[in-house]
Amino acid sequence: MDKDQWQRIETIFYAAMELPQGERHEFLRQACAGDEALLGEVLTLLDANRRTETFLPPAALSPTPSAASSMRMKHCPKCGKIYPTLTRVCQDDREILSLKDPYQLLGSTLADKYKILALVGVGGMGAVYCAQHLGIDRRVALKILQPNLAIGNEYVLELFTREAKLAGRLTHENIVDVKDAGQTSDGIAYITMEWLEGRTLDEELASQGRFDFQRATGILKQIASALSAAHAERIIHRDLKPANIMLLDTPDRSDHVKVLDFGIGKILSETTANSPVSALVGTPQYACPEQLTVGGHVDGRSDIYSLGVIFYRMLGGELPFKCSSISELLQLQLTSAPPPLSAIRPETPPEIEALINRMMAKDPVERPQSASELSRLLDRILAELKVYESATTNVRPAKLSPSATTNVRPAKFSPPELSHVSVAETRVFQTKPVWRGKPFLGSAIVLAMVIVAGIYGLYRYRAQPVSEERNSVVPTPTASPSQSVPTVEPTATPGSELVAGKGVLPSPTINQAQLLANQKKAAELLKQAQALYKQGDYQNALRACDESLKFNPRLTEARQLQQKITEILRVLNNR
Amino acid sequence: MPEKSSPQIPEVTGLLIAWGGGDRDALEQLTPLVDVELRRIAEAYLSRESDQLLQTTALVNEAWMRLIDWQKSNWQSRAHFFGVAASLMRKILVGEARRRRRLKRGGDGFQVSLSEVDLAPSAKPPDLIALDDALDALAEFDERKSRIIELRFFGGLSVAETAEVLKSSERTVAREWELAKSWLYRELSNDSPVL
Repeated sequence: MDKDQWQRIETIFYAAMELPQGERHEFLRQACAGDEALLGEVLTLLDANRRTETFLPPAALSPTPSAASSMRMKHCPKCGKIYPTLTRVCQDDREILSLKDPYQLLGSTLADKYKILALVGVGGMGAVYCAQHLGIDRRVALKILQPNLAIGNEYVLELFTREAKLAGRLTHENIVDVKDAGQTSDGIAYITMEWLEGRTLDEELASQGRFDFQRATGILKQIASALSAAHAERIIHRDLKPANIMLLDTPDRSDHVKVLDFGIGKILSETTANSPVSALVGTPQYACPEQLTVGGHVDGRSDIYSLGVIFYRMLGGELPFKCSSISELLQLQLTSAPPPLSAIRPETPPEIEALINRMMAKDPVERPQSASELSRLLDRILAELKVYESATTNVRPAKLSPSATTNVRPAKFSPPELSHVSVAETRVFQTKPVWRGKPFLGSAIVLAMVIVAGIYGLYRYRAQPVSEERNSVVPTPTASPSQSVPTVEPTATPGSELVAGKGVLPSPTINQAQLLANQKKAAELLKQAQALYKQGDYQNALRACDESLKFNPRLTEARQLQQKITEILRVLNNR
Repeated sequence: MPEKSSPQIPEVTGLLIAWGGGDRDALEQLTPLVDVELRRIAEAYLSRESDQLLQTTALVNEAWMRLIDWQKSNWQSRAHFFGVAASLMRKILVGEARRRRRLKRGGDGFQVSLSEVDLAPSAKPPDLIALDDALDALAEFDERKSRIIELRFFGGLSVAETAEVLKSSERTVAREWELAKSWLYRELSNDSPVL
């Protein structure tokens, strides 16, 4: 095409695109001024444009992957009635509904013993059917490896059989039971598992949005328990996500969790070097930084990260990282702290938020180091919250100063008004653990001993350094501790950092409102730093980080960003 | 932070930063490194998922993760990387499609979809060989539009990212993308039964 002609076409095309459909023809007639060839070009291009919506689709992550799958429908294998994909059973004849089967196995019998009844799920690697074991007349879930992947591809086949072997080693009430595995004479590799009646956590979240704390923590604990058992066998999951977590139907409607698909789990003792799919295995939304990085060492703590994302989603009703492209997602997953859960769900107890942040720490060292540690931490937090709750319900309301009420938790987890709490109860709050971003090994036992034996001196001994550290957190301490705040036994206060963080308990040395204000200021500065960092303004981003750390030296994200920027500046200056 | 296993990582990152700083030679050195990695990943995918639609975004992103030290590169240097990767990806995929067509005489060519999710059934992926020829034809009178298609389709870049690579505004790139896409569609529907 002639370049000049193309330029004319271009100009008119853009102008026409701006106009509503009805005005285009008149505009084109005038703009082309009798040049039939030009008019024809632009018209055909505009016409083509209307059909390019699905042509060369730009890459994007669908925010709701289920939207695409919902276009597929299910049908009843018996009566043929059509249902949406989330329906499981035919209303008329109670048959398990099936998806359209691309492998055309419906109705056939596999390996002489499994009669295929329905296709219940399709994934990247294969499909899951509901089948009847003819020998024992029992329903099983039968997973097949996509036939053209299995045939002639030893690596994938090996991965699949390894899934069976790994999962076969695990017997746990929260892990799906693997029954059998093999390959048919015509080359279809399969695994059979117990048939589970229920919904995936993904489906449940899609319909419920988010869960209350009790439910979310209950589910979390069961997953942690499953992971703990698997990790003990040196098996890590590596693809933990709501779609891999099943919530069984139970008579009392309580949640019974089963973790599925230890499919890409790998034995910890194995070397990773020979795995060609090391980097990208996993679902990016739930994958930890080390899983997304070259040569990242993946271990049990990677599952903890994924579980953190799941926990976040259960409580917040949304994923921590939302973005329009994979590269953006990876970027966030690798470099950004999740937006605070309390921002989307203000009643989130700070302890829970702190736990999630720890689970989702970029550096595995900062996460709970094992699933059992996670369970212990969670139990402890729940026990604390329970103490709060019961204390709150036993106490008459008291007046609080405006500054002290700003951070009071609403509803269920609101802290006790201390003027009415007996000394004994107060002691329980005071002896809460100090949350410092590191596992406090054994401190639970120590504290229990303290409470039981009442060894006051030991308590003081432990609390002392903490109070010093807290003092250093506050650059401008203005002491006005007791203006309208109820009196508490002053000697015991320094250790009660968690309580202090809520801004309700007074401290004889530090103005809580000031502490909170500083934390807030630090968070604001961190946000600025992050924004500047994204714009590539490293110098000012670094300055903002430094400022932020002045207000809160323990703000890990600011510390990490500071290090990162320093590193970048070093590289840039060296080049 | 995880350890880095590949000695290439700092090299690639350094070259990207150098290129971003105006060092033309850096591109010469960078290209083969990215090329090798992309080929390796693409081959792994192609051998594994022979009948699957190939997600180029996934490939480019994987290469990106393997090759660039994200801690040391800023978005601009990554934009350069995506620019290089898109061109190489096109070469690799089209080369593969042509090779397959030779093997399977009269075959359909090799199909690729950029979408991460299932698309409506109407969204058939284009024949890569025809697309490649059309892009060459387009480049003869409007190289920039051809490049936009390359970046978006083969590199998996968003409009914003494409604008970044081309140092242009999003608005401009968006409307150019519309025109380029329309022209390609018209061109391909003339002689390709795929669309």
